[in-house]
Amino acid sequence: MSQIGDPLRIIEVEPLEEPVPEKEVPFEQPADPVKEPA
Amino acid sequence: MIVREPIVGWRQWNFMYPHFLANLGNDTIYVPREKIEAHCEQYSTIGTLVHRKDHSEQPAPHLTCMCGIYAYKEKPRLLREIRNIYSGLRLVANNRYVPIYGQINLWGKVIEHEDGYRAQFGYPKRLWCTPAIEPLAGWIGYVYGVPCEVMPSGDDEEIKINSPRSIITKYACGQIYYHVGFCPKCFVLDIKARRKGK
Repeated sequence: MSQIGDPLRIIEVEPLEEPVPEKEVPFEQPADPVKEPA
Repeated sequence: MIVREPIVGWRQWNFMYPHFLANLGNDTIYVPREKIEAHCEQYSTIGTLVHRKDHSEQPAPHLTCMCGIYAYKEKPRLLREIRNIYSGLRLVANNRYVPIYGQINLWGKVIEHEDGYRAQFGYPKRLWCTPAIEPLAGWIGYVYGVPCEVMPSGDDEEIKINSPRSIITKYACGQIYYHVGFCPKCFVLDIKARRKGK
């Protein structure tokens, strides 16, 4: 482990909520400005 | 020992077109908005020898192994590693090195080392772009859902101490070539990139 040195201890990390952002908010297609012919 | 807050470490990624973070070997991509989980390659070290060992019954990382999501404890140690790569003391896959660095949240099973951590799960917490991809900072931040900024000048000096100067290449539009396949300002493809002065 030359990169980060020797191991010292094991830690169990159990966060109340996983720190991962929500998936992208869906892109809302704007309303079609072209009106249908009457 | 059980901790309820993620451990925060420092690490770097290699930027991969069009907007991904990959490890330095370019063999693992951090998928945006998904935690990354360590998988054991089932190798262990005893002294300088490397042995195959079956760890499949336990989640990575393992105490006698090299598996896990790596991070340093301190930012100066990370900047020193980036500088070493720039100066050729450490190689990366295909010599294609476009670093982006920052903080990473680590959780699950975490092995603390003298200078860093190896973790079971991880996800970037905050990112800083190096000059090659500065214009993409906002976009990368949006894709990954975390703050992403241009690197502070202090870090710039720290990293550039031994970094080689390369020939400045520009797009036909005049913008500096960003190694990402297109000009991030006008979206001209890099097929029109030309070396300055030609």
